[in-house]
Amino acid sequence: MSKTSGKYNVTDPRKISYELFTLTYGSFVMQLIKDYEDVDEVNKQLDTIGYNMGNRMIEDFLARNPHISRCSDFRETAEVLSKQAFKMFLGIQPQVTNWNNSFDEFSLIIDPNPLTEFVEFPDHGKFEKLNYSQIICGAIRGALEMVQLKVECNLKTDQNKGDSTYTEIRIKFVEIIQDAIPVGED
Amino acid sequence: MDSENVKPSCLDKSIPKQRGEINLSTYAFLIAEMVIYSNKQSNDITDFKSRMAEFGRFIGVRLLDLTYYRDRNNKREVKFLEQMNFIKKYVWKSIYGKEADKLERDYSDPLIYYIMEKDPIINKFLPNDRLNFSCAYLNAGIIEAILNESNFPCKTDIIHSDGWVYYTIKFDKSVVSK
Repeated sequence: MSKTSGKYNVTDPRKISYELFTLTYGSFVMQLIKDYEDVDEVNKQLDTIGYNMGNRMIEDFLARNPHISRCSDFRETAEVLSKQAFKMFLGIQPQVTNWNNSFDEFSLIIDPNPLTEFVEFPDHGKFEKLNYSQIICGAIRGALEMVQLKVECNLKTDQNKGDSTYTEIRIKFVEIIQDAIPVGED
Repeated sequence: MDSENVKPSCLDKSIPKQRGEINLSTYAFLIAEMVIYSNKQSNDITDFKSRMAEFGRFIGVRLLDLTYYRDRNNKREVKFLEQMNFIKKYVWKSIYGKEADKLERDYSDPLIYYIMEKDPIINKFLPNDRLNFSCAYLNAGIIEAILNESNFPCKTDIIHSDGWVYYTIKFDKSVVSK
């Protein structure tokens, strides 16, 4: 990564209230729960939706940050992901941590998580298995796949699970995709 | 208190005075997915509209108190005209960072009012030939929820005209005669 100033490095000034975003996402998840009723299915849907978003977000990201070039290793990818991508899209910088020994797996700690602001789950435990922030995992997977990085991305803890107050996402490098396959709508 | 209740409830936290902001692209991507999803799930355009408005209603109900609390010091409006003004000014300002453009009444029907907005942000990435799939239905849902919640029963719809979006508010008779 080179210089951080210059004409093309201005981050997008167009902003909207993040509460609107949080509430909108909440309404979406609610609708999914109403439509599918099954929590596992909702998780799957959220992942797919995130994946579709990620596919498009990577282009927006690279177009607005033309100074970012190919990452030399997975550690650099992690840095770019947390310090640039998350910063640009969600205005936060999650902590990169818990690397494994071979440096192909790490965790992102998202605290505070803008998606889970105002979110509270009923006590009856029906939504214990709901991965509320799964959409972020999907988006990471979708975005990295477009730059030929295949990763596994899972929500390790989320605010509705146990007594966790932060969101942890575990990202594992799988392979470099050799031939990029065109991605369809679905 | 048992161990399950140790986690602080979101009601115990204070509402942040300052509002955060988020990149419009992120929001646009999310809305795009919501439009695709709603379209896939619905049989026709009416169904689609009501699904989008349903999202808006969910948001509107929650925004109402938040905006009262934050921008109006909990002062509430008791007249429907002022309530519409409140939406135009404060609610729109708090979510989109700018006021809606105009507030007008219909000249023939005393029950109908319009909140008008030129090029709403939410439609920014919507091609002109796809106005059927206008994301502004979500805004209409927000307006409807806020008015209904504050006891001014009404139905909302939208009309597109030349870059303008008219949020049509048709009040129940009881509201206007008050």
